[in-house]
Amino acid sequence: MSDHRSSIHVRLTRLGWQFAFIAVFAMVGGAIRAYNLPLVLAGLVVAALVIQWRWSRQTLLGVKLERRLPDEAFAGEPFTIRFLVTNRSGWLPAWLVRIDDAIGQRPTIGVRSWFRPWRVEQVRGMTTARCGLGVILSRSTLTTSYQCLITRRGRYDFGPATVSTGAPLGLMLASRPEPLPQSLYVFPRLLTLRHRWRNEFPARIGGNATAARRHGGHDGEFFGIRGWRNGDSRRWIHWRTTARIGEPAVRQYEQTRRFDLCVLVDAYLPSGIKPRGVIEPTMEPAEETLEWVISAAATLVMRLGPTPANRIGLVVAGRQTRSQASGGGREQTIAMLRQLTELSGTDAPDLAEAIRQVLRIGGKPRDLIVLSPRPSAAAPNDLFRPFSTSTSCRWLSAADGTLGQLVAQSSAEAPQPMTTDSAGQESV
Amino acid sequence: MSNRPATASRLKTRLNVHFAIATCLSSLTLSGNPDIEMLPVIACFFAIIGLVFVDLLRWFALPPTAAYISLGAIALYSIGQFTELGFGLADDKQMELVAELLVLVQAVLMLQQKNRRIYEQLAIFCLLELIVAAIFNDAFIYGLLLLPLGVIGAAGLALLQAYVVSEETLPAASLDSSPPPEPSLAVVRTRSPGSSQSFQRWGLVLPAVTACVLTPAVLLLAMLFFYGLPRTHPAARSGSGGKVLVGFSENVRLGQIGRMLQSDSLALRIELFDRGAEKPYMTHGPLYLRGAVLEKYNTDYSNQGSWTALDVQSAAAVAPLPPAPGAIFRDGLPVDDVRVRITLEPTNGPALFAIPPFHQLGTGPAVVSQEDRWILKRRPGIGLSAANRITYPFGSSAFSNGQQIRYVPRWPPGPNSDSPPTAATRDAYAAARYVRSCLEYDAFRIPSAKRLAATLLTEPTADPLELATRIEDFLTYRGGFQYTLDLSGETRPGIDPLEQFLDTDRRGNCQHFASAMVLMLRSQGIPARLVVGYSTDEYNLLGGYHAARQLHAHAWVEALIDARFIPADKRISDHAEPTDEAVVDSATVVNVSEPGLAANGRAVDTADREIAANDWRLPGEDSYWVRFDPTPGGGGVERPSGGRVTDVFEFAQHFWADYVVDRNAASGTRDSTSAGRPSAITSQYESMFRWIDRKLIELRSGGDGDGFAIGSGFSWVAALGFFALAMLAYLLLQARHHHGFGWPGRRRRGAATGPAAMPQIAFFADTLRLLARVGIERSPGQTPLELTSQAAKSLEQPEGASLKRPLRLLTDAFYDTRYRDPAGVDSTAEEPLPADLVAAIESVRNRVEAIESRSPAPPHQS
Repeated sequence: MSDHRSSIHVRLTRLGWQFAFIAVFAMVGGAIRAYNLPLVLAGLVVAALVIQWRWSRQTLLGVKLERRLPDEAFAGEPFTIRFLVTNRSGWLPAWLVRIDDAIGQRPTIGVRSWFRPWRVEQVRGMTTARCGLGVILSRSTLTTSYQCLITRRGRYDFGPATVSTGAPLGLMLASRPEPLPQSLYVFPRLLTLRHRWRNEFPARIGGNATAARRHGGHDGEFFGIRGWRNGDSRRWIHWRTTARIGEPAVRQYEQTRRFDLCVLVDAYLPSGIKPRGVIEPTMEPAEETLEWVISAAATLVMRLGPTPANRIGLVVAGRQTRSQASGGGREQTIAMLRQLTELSGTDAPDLAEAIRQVLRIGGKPRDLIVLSPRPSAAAPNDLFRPFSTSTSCRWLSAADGTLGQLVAQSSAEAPQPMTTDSAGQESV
Repeated sequence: MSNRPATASRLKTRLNVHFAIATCLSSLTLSGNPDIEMLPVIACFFAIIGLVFVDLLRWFALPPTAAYISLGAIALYSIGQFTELGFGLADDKQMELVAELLVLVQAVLMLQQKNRRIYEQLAIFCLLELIVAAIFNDAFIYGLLLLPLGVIGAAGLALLQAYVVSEETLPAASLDSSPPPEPSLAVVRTRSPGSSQSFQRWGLVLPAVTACVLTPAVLLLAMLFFYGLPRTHPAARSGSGGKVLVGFSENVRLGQIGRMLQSDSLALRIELFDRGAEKPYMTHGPLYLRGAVLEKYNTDYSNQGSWTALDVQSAAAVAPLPPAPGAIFRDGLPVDDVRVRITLEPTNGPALFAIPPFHQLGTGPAVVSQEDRWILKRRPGIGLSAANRITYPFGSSAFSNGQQIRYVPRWPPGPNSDSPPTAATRDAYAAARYVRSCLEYDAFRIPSAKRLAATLLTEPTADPLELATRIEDFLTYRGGFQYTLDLSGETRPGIDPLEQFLDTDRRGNCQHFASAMVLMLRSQGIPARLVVGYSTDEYNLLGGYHAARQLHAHAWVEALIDARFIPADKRISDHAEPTDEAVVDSATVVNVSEPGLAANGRAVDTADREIAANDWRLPGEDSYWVRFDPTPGGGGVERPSGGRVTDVFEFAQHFWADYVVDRNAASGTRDSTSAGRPSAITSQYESMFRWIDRKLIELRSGGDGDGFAIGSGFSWVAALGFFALAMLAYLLLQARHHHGFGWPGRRRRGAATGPAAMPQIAFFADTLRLLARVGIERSPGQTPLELTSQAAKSLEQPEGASLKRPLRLLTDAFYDTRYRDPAGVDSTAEEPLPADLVAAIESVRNRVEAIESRSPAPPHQS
């Protein structure tokens, strides 16, 4: 509470300054001319200012903020930021509480060591979101929110949030900054896959398909029964076996993988184009092309990654080369999206290292798709040599139009976000 | 979504109404000055026009360019006026021009389309008008307007603040991803439709809370500020808006008092305190306050009669008040020791008012007396401006058992029983000459006075008091005289107006009656003089003071009667029966045919004085000025009785004047000539509480029908009180209903407002997010089915398919998932969604995006 006291700033608003000036004028004039009524008016204005000061300051002393970020956010898709606002005061309702939330984008390159997330105002391109509540009764908590639309991928810092109130008269504005440092990955924009996008990938149904065991009866054949572990849903319990052995047992199914592929993103950016960060209002055509490639990769990851029947790997070759494999888990899919979010282009992507990482995370038979802004001719001749003949390797380029056969450049009909999870249903 | 525009519109409408009312009220405070009496009319006219035709009906609005041109023209006009006036003195005129400027600018503002800037300017101009009005209008109406204006102003500012924050969070029509022109907003766009709605909804409640909670606190703090402010100069007044009351000078024309009687303006307030008991002194009968004593009757060339005061040349003409009389005088007789405090409204004359015999009792040096006339005056050059209300105290020995004694000793008594009367130290010649002046009578011009007086001596009397009483009775009852204020009768040329009154008309006002009696007394050799002042029996029970108004102006007669003819106990009270020892020696016969000094006080011989001194309980005096009031019915005009309401109003008026307008230095004194201040206000409040207590007892016992009595028929006061209580109870209930105060006893956790938390079922949460984009959010306590039903109605469009079925499908699926299998809440995120639900979500999404794309951009106020 003592910190709160010291961090509350109360300043006069424009109207407050005008009132204060008139009060001083009335006071001086009344004193000089010995008129009492101007002094009465000055007293009323001064009293209003004092009450305003104490009221707004006391209001903010009792207000506590808590920000709730969404689990995921995609560029070009609105998402909601929520604030839990608690009024801890035992007697004073908090009126007209406004929250100004600073949103800044953390640079993907050139991060300075002195950078502090709660000082995002130093970051170019910071903007402020506003929301608020009309009243919060004493000892109660309410939720307010604002919708946010971020058009470019990146890691964004939220905070500080400034809670302020000018109630009741608007003569003063009391504000208190709350650091509340939080960051949110805004994943690349999701694009629309072409109608026959599946034809670009060889599906593995039966035969050479690898098998994976999972729980629950979504699809696949019954594999067996094992003992219950923490995290298992009660819906997976096999009640008859449980009754027989006296302890809970759950069903396991064997599923056939539908897609088993690795996506390699060639984050090539011609030399001479300096990556300026995604906060810039305009981009060079080469940057836009690279963004298309990255968005296409994200769309594929989103479409194929969350489905348990698929096995997807992602390798990104940019200023850094990184990889991530996914067996259909949500966390792994998000990890892949984060890599794509933080990917920055370079004029010399290390494709050899990328291929090594593909082999490391892929294991046995896995198809490879390279998404690149460059034409396939730019690829080294021995790039796919490490792969066996049974592996399908394709180079989809934004330059020669092959990428356009897979995914549209526009996001007019973006796929469903992951939460609706309708992708898996459509993919098979 | 459906109620968002309605709430915003209500907020704007209330804001407009509040500012229009504030504009009207602030302009009404200027109404005290008759020179600018049209300004409030102009301001109110434009406020109403602006409210109705610009804000509510939206028929027209002054474009900003036209407004700027108008303001420029007003500025030029004002500068021209100032230039003509000059920038020197002439303060009042300059302030009038400032007031005019403010009102004209306000009128232009009211005709404009309102936004935050206009509202703020209106608030500032209201405040400036109050400042200007405070300089030339300190009447009570200003204080009366200040309270409602403060409440309305505070409520208006609260509404303005809600309006401002709701505008600042006003959502964009939609969050599209097209590149905006501003680089800083290139990648991030935000909107919060629920916040704006919340501000608007609760902004409608905030003014009531502000008015209930803030007003008492602001008033308390303002009082502390005002009364704690150190002051070094006495308070100045602004001249009562040019309405200085007519006072009494030393030249009063016949009929002048009759004109004063047309006004019921308050002239002075008289507070009487019993010094022994330290409580208000209650009196019976009318209270006579003398303002001027006039000895000389003149008739000018236009046959207009007037009375003037003699040019008194003696050193005692202007002197401090006499000291308090000795202990015997106070304690030996049933004369009550009364302290008088008079508060006099601004007058244009030097005369103050007194209740003789008076003496020094905390009276400051600015008040002086003329002992031979028993009057008080302002001492020139001391600082008692005639334009200021002043208060002065003095002691008085004029009361006995609550009645004002009609006998006033000619000279003030000595300070104690052993000291000689002050008369002994005076110039006997000057005193005798003064008495002779009081006997001047022109028998040629006014023969009827002598003739009529002689008719009263058919039964000879040696007692001048008896003769004066006969004359008084004659004029009052038996002579066929009639009191009237209508003096429009034809004047006869060459005839003195008093002669016409006595001989022909026999109709007149108190001045005619008193003047006639003075001349009749003089015609019979009895020295007499005319006294003008106030005679009032109006008593404010709430404030515990007598009020004298202009309509209480009065003229009466004083006759100088030798003490031998006045029974000793009669000198104290008219009600006492004369004793045998006090019977006047009937052998002393007044020679009524030869006017002279034989019957006058200064002519009595030494033996008589000794006898009189032995008989008199007021030592050292040899004659008395005896008051006669020959006007039938006491004269004056009957003032319509306002009852307790008037009492309360006037009490508040005096409170305003005493403790606000005339508030002086931090010593706590009001504008007073006194060095020490009696604790009068304490007694006033004691009186007020006693009055309330008495009324409560009357209420309980049924009372007598006057006031709160309910046992003997209908009482307006009781009905109004009941109505006020009912309104108060209603407002409190309304406040409870709106949850505006957050009182601990009525806090309900479930009463939280704002959008409710999102459900954990993913597809339904997505549906609610879609609905939130168009402002439809679930409030606490609202079931999902209610929400989707409301959403289906809100999203209804004539050209599109109804969303009722998809939303119902989603709601049913939500209920099914949520309540059929609680464990499924966690697992549904990984389950494939049925196609019909996906289609339903898509249809909702399409409708929401269609609405967002068609929503017009909100009007941005600069």
